[in-house]
Amino acid sequence: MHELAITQNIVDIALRSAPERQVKGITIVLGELSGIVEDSVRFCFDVVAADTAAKGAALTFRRVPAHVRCTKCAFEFKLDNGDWACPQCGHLGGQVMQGRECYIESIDVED
Amino acid sequence: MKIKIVKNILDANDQMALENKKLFDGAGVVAINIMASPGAGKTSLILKTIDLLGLPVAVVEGDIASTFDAEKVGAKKVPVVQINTGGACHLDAAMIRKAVKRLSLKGARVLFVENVGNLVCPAEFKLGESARVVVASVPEGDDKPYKYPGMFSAATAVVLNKMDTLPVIDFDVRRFKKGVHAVNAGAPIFEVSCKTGQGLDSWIEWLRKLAS
Repeated sequence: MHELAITQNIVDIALRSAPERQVKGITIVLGELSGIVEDSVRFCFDVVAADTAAKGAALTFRRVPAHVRCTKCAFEFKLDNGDWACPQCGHLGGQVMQGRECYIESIDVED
Repeated sequence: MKIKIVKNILDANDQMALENKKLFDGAGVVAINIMASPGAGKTSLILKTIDLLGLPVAVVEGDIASTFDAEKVGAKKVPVVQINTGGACHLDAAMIRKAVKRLSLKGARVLFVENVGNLVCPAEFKLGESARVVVASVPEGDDKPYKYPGMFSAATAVVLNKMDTLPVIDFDVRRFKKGVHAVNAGAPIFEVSCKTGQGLDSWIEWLRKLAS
């Protein structure tokens, strides 16, 4: 349910970055571990952006897979189906190298 | 026309959380964000801790509705403020800012913020806390760290409550701990029962160190 708050922030940032202009598109980067569900953001966006200059903007999501570095053997691996065990040495307990991203990369505005 | 932004979506909340942190630091208060699923024992842990800690405490209670928790804490003669989110599944930094205006932090050393019962959303929203404590409980099952890695990876410490129910519930403590340490290698895990008081001494010791 926190996607409503997240979406409100997305719209606020987009509007403040381009005052007085129609926002045509927003590119959002979401890490696999960000805990944010794309479909929910899309659903909330129509409600939150209504009556603003971001109404009807196309949302593009760039997903970043989670990469973890083993804290024992330093092997870096892609998190597969929530399995945190190192495929090299079996150790549990990795440091997240990427996958927590949650930011707006760019917006597309009317020229 | 494309405009490059690269701005954290939760930037506004993060900024407000930083301001809260400064306010707490200035008042000499250590804020602790207590998160858990509904019924894990957040309020029970706060109540027991007030009894045992021996330091002046203030509390912010977050719930979707009702003032039951604030009333329980208020009965301990501790400054308390209730936030009703009216449906929102988590507390955010702005809510905390508003709530502490109604709360006397004077003389307090530790501020407990009891978040809304939820193992998902509260992990995303910083409040200005110095530590995040996740409370889990034996009846919930030993798989929770595996199912909610976001929450457990964000924890400064984990409290495993209701240890007194272990004889009647299938719960593998080793599996639970392994799950926590898989996503959060350094987090201490305190095995306690707020009902019997077992294990609370090391939790209290940890808190005292944090507040000193």
